[in-house]
Amino acid sequence: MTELALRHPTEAGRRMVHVFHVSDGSNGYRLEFDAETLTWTLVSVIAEQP
Amino acid sequence: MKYNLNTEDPQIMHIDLNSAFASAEQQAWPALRNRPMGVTNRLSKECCVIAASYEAKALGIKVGVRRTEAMALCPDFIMLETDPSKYTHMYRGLLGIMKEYSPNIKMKSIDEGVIDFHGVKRSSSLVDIGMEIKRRVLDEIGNYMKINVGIGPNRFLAKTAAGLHKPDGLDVISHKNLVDVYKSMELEDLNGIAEAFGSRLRAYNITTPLEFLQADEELLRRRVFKSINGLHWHNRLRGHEVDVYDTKLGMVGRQWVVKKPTNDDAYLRSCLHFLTETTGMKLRYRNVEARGVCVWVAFRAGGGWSDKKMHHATFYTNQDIWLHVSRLFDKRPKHMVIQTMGLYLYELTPSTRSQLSMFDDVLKAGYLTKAMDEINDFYGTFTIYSADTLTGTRHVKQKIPFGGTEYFNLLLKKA
Repeated sequence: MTELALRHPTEAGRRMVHVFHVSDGSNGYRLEFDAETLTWTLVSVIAEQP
Repeated sequence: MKYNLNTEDPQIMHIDLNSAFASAEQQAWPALRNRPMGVTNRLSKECCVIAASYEAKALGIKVGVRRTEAMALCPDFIMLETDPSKYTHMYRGLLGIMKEYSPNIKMKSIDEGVIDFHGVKRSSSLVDIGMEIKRRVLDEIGNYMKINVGIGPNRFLAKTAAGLHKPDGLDVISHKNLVDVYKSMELEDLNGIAEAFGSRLRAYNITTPLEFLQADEELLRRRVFKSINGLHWHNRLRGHEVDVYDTKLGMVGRQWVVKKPTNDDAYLRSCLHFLTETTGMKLRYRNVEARGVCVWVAFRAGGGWSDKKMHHATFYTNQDIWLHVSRLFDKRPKHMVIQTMGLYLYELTPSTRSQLSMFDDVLKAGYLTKAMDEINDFYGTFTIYSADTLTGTRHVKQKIPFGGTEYFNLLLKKA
């Protein structure tokens, strides 16, 4: 990863979820870290303009 | 020529986060930066842009443009769905920064606010403070987030200053340069002067902001505006403050575009019940109670139906609101397929919840509502809700409102 573009908290019921928008220089990824289950989920990807 | 301008040092700062939602998405997604893109509440073929990036605006894609029109203007246009938690985070950040400079701040909408520096002891100039806020927004909110800062002797001129050099400007309007600024503007560039007012002014040979400034107060009051607004404009243009007031809350409500247009009673009732509970939440957050309720629907075939009722006693609990709403909703033509539906509560009065009722069941309903609100405040919105709204909870999306800040403040309350 080359850039942490934005990190913000959100909630899933009573669970705190930290959202990380990161980039590897060509694609963007939205990763979510569940603070209760301590699991990471890749939620979406946006590709760089061709 | 003497204009009786307000000659005090400018003390009002207007901060405007332009294209806020689009910029927030470009902040989060570097791949979207410098590209025409926009956001909408729910993606569909005919959805509308509710915020467009600067690149999209340059191509003529503005708020309200349909996705199909946007794609015709620019085949590479990208539309994303709104992400409320992201904007709440931005709003919270901007609010937090602004609060550090004065106790007297007012968010005018989700993406703009005013800091009043009257009576605030400060060691640096407002221009320096404006630059500092710009830097802090970049550091603390996001390195792609640009704000416009305007400084003026009243709210109107501060907002005008903020609009002079978008998207990353910092301008001051004072009695020293006010005439020059007006010389560089058109009538409709003035905030609050749209086409209709512009035409009215032109009918009296007022064709530029400078001529507006030169216009006689009596002419404005008696003939052009035919109301006290003429006097307000006369003062506003000179930098005197006339825009400090609390707007009266007239109604609270919600509407929803039905995800799959239908006449399925169980589905529609569940979704409407969900909208009712969020409306009740807003009502209690504002510490008011309602007497009037209105339910309306728009049909897929065109046309619509609505009904409203005024009650003798005020109400505020979810149970009472739903009782009134569902009774009205049952009167609709049930064979018609519904495209959009909504409700609003009106005749709002300050809450009387602190007064003890002599009726036991009223007390119980109040306690139940209070307990539910406290649980939801603590554990997160919709931790606890009526079983009947289960379908609605799954289908109705958290919505981004235009203009108001109440919903964001409501979300921040538990933060």
